[in-house]
Amino acid sequence: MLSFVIQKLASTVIVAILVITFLSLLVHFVPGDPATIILGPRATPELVARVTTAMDLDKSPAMQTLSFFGRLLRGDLGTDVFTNRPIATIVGQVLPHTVILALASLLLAALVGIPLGVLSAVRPGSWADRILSLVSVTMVTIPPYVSGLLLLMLFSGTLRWLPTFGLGNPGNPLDYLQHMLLPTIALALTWIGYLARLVRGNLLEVLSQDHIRAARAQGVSQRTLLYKYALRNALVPTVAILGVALGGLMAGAVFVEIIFSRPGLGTLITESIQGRNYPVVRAATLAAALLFVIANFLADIANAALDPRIQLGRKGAA
Amino acid sequence: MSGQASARLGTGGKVAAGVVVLIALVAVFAPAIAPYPFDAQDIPNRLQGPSSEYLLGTDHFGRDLLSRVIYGTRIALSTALPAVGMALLLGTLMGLAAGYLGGMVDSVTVLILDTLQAFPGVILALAILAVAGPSSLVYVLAVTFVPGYARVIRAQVLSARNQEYVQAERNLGAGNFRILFRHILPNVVAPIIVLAAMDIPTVITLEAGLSFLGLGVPPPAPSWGVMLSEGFQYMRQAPSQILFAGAALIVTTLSITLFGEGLQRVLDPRSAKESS
Amino acid sequence: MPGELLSVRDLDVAYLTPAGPLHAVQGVSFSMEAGEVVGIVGESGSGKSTLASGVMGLLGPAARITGGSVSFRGDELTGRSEDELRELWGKEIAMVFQDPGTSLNPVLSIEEQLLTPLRQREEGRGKSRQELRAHVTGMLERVGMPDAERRMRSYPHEFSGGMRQRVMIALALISNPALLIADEPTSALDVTLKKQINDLLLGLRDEFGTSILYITHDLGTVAQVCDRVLVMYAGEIVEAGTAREIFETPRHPYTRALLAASPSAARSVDTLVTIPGQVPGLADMPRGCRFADRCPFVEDMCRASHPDLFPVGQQQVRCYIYTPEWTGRTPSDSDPRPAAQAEPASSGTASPGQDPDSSLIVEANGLKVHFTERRNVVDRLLGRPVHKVRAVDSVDFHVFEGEIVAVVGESGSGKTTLGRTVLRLQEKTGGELIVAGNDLAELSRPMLRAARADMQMIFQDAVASLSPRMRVRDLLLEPYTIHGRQPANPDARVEELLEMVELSTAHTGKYPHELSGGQARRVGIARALTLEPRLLIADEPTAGLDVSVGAGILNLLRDLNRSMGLSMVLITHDMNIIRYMAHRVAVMQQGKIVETGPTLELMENPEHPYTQELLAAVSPPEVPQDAP
Repeated sequence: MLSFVIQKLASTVIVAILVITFLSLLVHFVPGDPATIILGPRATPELVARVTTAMDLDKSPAMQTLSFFGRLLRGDLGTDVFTNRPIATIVGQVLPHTVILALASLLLAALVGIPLGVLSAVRPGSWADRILSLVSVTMVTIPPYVSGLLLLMLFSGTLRWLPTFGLGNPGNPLDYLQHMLLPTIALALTWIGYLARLVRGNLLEVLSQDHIRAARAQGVSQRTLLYKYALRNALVPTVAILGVALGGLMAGAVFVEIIFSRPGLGTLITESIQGRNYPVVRAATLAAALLFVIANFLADIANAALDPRIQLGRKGAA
Repeated sequence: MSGQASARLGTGGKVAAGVVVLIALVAVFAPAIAPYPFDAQDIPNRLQGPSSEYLLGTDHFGRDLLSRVIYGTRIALSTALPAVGMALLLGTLMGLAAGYLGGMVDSVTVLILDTLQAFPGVILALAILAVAGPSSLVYVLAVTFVPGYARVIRAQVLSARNQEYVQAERNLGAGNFRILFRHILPNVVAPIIVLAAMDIPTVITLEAGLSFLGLGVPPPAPSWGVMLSEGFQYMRQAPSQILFAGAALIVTTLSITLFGEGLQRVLDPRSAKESS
Repeated sequence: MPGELLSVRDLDVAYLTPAGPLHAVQGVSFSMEAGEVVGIVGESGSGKSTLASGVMGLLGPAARITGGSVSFRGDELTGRSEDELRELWGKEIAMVFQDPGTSLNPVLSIEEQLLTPLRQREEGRGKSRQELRAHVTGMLERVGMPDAERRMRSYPHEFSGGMRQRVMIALALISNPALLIADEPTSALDVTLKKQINDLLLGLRDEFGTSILYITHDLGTVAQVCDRVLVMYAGEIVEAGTAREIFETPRHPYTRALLAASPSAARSVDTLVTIPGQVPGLADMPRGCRFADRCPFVEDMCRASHPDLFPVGQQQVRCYIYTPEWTGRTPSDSDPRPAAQAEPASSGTASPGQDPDSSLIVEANGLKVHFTERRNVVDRLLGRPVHKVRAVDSVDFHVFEGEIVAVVGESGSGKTTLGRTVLRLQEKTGGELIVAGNDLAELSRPMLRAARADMQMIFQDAVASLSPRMRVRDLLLEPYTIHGRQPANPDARVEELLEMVELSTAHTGKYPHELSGGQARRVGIARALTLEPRLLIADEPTAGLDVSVGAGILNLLRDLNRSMGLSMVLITHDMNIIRYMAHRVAVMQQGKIVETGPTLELMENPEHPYTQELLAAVSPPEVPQDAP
């Protein structure tokens, strides 16, 4: 197991390095002076000079990347040319809200989606199954911005049950949670549908396999067959997906944050793009990507922990 | 179509197919169907509800919502189809090269794919758009989907290399080129086409999302995402725009998805375990 | 009847399809007593597996018992709910399945898989975990797992196929059921393992008095293991009797043909008999005798009405030949079962190797094929030793022109790697290899391509070896395109090639997945013959085929060798076919050739212990002398 973890850690670090390099070099993929391109209509000679210094654009691409790395290791993401505040602080202030939102949505999606999938799989072809399948596929197709807008319309207009604006009072956890409820639902909806279908498919596949039939022939009860024998198998590929899901949720958070006026990574990136503040965009994107990479790493480890075949990949039969 | 294929397609599949055809027709014949041009303003009648003059009402510039929704179909398809096409072509070439040639080519390709896939979808698009500007929308969309196809093709080629029929061809004396293009490629490409078709709704959704953020198709073009954003702005006065654009988006993506699944069932009976 | 453990009467099992029910099992009746081993023999499509599932009540959602009764210890099983049946499963009636690789849950430890059902049974309740574990450990040791207590915490994929099957047997017998249904328990195993598992089953029967219903297609196993035998064809029992009766005096034409089609060590035949035609599909069963279309003795009365089981001495036979009204031919002892004294074909023609003028077509000296495991960065850093697999370990291998040499070994012996290396589909890592006069390693690319025309391979998985999107015609003509030649008349050549392998031209437009296993193999052979090679390497030519279909392939290969002087290397694990096919034999074990020599000599006087073990494990369809 240990060598597996080390292996995965090593490849995670490599990917992280590649991501940083990619973001660092991205400005150079477009022809022309990088600083001017980035700033676009906001390009005044003074701002151009400031951006050039802030991003080391006067040095060679290789040097740039290296100095970016160097600063990163010291926790320095540069200084915002427009407000003179350290970018690390800007990103750090909003990051937790996005992470909490994404994790909450993941939890909701798993808690609702997985049982729905199991329910469908136990009675394939029945009315319940067909309705659930239709509902699932519809949920998958509704993007978070549509569900967010619909929820917003419903609760800010007709039913004033839940707050729809902002974070609420961060010092008051209950209030924070209340403000988080609608955004979490809007964000989780797509993935509830996705997980329900995934689990249904995996479970049906497992239930048709030989070893389930063999266990049945041993007189194992239906409940045990389903939960101990079949579900354990079906959940293995599902857990691996949860890492990907977290990435998708972070992507969806961009929309949900805007709709519900919540500060977060998504709002930061969007506003910075509109304000042509590329250094902040770069830093925020980097944060999102690194979180995603870590989430995938954890999901892979969890997957390996659940599936005994994975760790001992190369060893043959005893 | 044969009886078996028809049965596998199912009622759902056929209905979806019908809707898809309808949507395609709307997109193609938009100028003929839409009662008004999508940018014709009528300020005195702005933010009105449905009326006999404007069937779905008007937006904040007095533009006819129905016409805008209709033209939105065009925008959705005309952005998504080229994006998927490009992604498919580039992804297939990359996957073929990486899978068959192996070695350095494979290692470098995998590194590139890993890097691109380390970003959650929208985030990658945003990062590139920040640098390349809104005119690169279609290319940005394509880049986001290239890694998916490249990986699938690469995996297929890797497994095909060890298949008995490839060994048999080598045994007969066939060279690499022949094996790759005459034998491996046809077997590997078919499932990818259906996969790509099923990605079209995802690309449409991504484009609408980016447009919603103001970073996709520029106004006054009536992308459904732009309409959603405008509806969001004027939510108090006239929220109906959200409903119409949202409905159009969902109906389009849902029908293409269901049709794609039906198609998959017809072409590959093994995936017929999925119902609906 | 008292004393009877199991009584099956007129059992009918059907698959429910939109087009109506398809009867896979019809009118099957038999009974079993305590401690008996009853064999059900049949080829694919006979319904034997469905019968097994039906007896147990373990049918899938699409199948149903549509008639008859299954009575266990006097209690009727048909019509019971699954909950009721579950009381019996594992405790009174247990089942062992064919493929140990897929019959064990991959994510649960062996311990868990044994303890869980045990805990749910009455005997398991109220016992401490300690007690149950001890019971499980005992059972695992009884089936032959060394160091059971420690190893049972491992997972199925960490065990070999043979050990997994032992675990399955432990699972089935742990609560000492009265009846064990074994559905092809050794079909997926190597020859020596087959014997071990069968011995284990018999030993357990002796110790616990378990009755065994043994389903198989392998006649050799049936002869060794079973007390009574039921022969199934197209969903019916066509003959029943004791093992001795079935093998020494087979009555039904199908049984006789089946026995004649099995190559075996004890029987010497000139040509294996194949059964023309195919099993009738479930949807178009003839009204009369189901074997009529393929039967050499068929008369009008056979097609007119459906025969019952008629008593013939102690046996029962479903054939009109044994009724007083029969007026047609009757099988005499020499037809179709030839006399046991016929000369084995392998010594009929002198081995070309004994002719001093014959040349070598394959000459391998000190041939080595070693695989080094690719290590990842971490292992390299940690200094873990490199794992080397010597698939072919310094092998001397010679084939004279015109002869058939069999390379025999179990899985992992390296025989397939050897075959592939000879054709340079696999690169050698050392040693000398000269094929058809060429040192393949020295050849340039274009010359290698030309050389390939002389040496061809027939692959184990016949359908997979044909490019899935090409039709038969294109597949047969492709070798010409590859080598830059064109036949004068392509259509005629395609016809000629198909004729050589006895396939009708109806198949020219088909895709590989539309062909049956036997047909695909023939197409593979035809393809290999297109460029008129001098050497043919056949990798497990009968794998996955029914006995009679396989017999046809072997006949074909032998004819090609005789008529065209085509040299052949036969790679196989089946000792039974070498006597029929090969002039010389090379026995491989773990990468080395441990013994080689002319077939007859080797089979009569094996010198190496491994050869002796292989021959001992091979079961000729001959009943042991002490059987009833």
